[in-house]
Amino acid sequence: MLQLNGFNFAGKILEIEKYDEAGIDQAMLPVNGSTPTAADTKAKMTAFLAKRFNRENKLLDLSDLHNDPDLIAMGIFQSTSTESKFFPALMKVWELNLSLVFDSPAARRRAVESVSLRANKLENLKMVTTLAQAFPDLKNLDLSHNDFKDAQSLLAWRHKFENLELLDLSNTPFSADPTFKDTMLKWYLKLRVLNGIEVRTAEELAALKKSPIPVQAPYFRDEGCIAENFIRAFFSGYDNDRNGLLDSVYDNESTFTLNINTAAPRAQQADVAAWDAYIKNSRNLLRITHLTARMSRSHNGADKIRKLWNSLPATRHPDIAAHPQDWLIECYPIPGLVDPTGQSPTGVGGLLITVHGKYDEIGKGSKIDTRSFDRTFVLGPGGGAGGVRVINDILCCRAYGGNEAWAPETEEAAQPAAQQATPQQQSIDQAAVPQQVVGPPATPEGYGMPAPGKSETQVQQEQLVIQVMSQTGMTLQYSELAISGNGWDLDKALQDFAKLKEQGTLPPEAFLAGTV
Amino acid sequence: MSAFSDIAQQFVQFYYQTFDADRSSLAGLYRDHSMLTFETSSIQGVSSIVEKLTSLPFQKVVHKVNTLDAQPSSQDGSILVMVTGALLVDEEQNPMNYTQSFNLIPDNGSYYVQNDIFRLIYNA
Repeated sequence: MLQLNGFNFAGKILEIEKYDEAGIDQAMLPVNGSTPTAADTKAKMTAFLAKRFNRENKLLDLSDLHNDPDLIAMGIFQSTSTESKFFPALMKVWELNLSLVFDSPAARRRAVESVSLRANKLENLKMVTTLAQAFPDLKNLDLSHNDFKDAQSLLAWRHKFENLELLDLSNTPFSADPTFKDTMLKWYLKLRVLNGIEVRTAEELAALKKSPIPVQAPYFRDEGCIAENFIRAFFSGYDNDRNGLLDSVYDNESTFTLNINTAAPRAQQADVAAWDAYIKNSRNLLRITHLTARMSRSHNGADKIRKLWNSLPATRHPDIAAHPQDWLIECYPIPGLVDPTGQSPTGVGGLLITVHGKYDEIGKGSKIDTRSFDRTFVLGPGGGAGGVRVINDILCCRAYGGNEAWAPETEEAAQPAAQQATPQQQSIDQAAVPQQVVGPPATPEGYGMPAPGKSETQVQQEQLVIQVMSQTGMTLQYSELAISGNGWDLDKALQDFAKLKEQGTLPPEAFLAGTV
Repeated sequence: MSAFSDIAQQFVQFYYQTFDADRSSLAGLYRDHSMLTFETSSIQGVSSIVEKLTSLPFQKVVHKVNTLDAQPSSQDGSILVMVTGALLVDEEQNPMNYTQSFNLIPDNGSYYVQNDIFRLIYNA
């Protein structure tokens, strides 16, 4: 298959001499009477990892280690002492290698989505437990053909792998346990496929993700488009002509305050630019406790607001009509505001508007920082543009956090794709197994996934075909032939394949492009 | 001048303490024309609001306020309060981040909540 010859990618060639050798020295004791140097051991481990790492599939295949000729030659399995130290050392070498290739921790985490520990005679996780530290974001984990007897034997990973979607424990004693499925569902909240069988539908996962608070359409009660016109004019004015905006809808009774929520979470890719321009005016009443400071940070009247606004960075908000998904705007009528004309003793009606969205900060030079904001207005009737005046304007700025919290659920699938920065980030959200994302579409859309009118047996068979494809590199048609011809027994199909391949009887067209 | 800030702060503290301890006790903060918007369910009236709050599908809840700001909203003393923060529900490990805006109206030496608008702003 697509195994690499070395960690020679992303334009960098690994130089193993650079490594900190202490950890490996301690980890690997002299083997088999000879004394291999730490550098030598690392070089061999690096070569081994390169052999077992399938970069395109983001798969690290650590299956059947006892039969690997290179590991046998290293004498890894000759004593329990070297065997027990091998795996932690291997993980260490992996992390050292990776840190030279990928700069950011996020990129390192994305490099591997799938790990196979199939057929390693594992009775518990003692030997391999460091895997969870090396790959906390793993989506697919194959632990099949091992000797795990019960939940206890897997307990070390109970609170690991929060993003695990596919787990294979088939052909382990534990998977015959009546509590097996429920336990795994409880441990892994994003688990979709267990032992090749779908255990949560996409809908169930979406429901879990959204609970306990469902997201619906925004509330917007606005008579005569007053709020709508105000919002459109406001953000365009705030970006392009703050003075004009102040003249049109702010007056001497208007109040503006801002605060910075530095504790808000940020979307994964965003670095947070400094808040220097804002922080001295941030009026977070939890932090600003002195009366004078509280008062000086409340900007009352158009003139004081003008002074502040002209000191704040220039902004560009996304166009509301062109990018509605970036905005959440809600509007409520409110009673009882003071009538500025004094004609109504009981007060007049106003509007309370809440806005959530993002903006680009156009600073000095070419650097553009994207931030999220939450803004609440109270509008009353007045002499300004559109017959309104701004009574209250509270702005909260925070690190860019995306719009997922209010995106309609149907649009969610499209979201990650839109935010892709590199091809490596291709989402596998819709794939039952990671292999489906590789190269040109090897399987039709929805293949291996449940659908109306498709029986569970068929889904399972399709998933078996996908497994054959991933392990043999054969096309869908040939994979289906291989497994259906072997009574849907994966092991038999793979043995059969190995035999035929050795005999050279498989035609080139049996294989997917780029795999041979 | 400072009074409204203190009132806002006391209100927010009381509101979340009560919410986290016993949501049904929030009834006294609302009136029959009050309106709660929780995400996008909009509910009017004390009994409906309390019913909504108590039926939210979690048992344990803890609010942590990150920012709090307030402005006087009219000369007769109503106050606009805006809070951002995070809440943890039940056994969930990741906090959910929210903003909440309150419109507080003075009433016989006390205040009631005319509008209460809760929105999640970040999905953990």
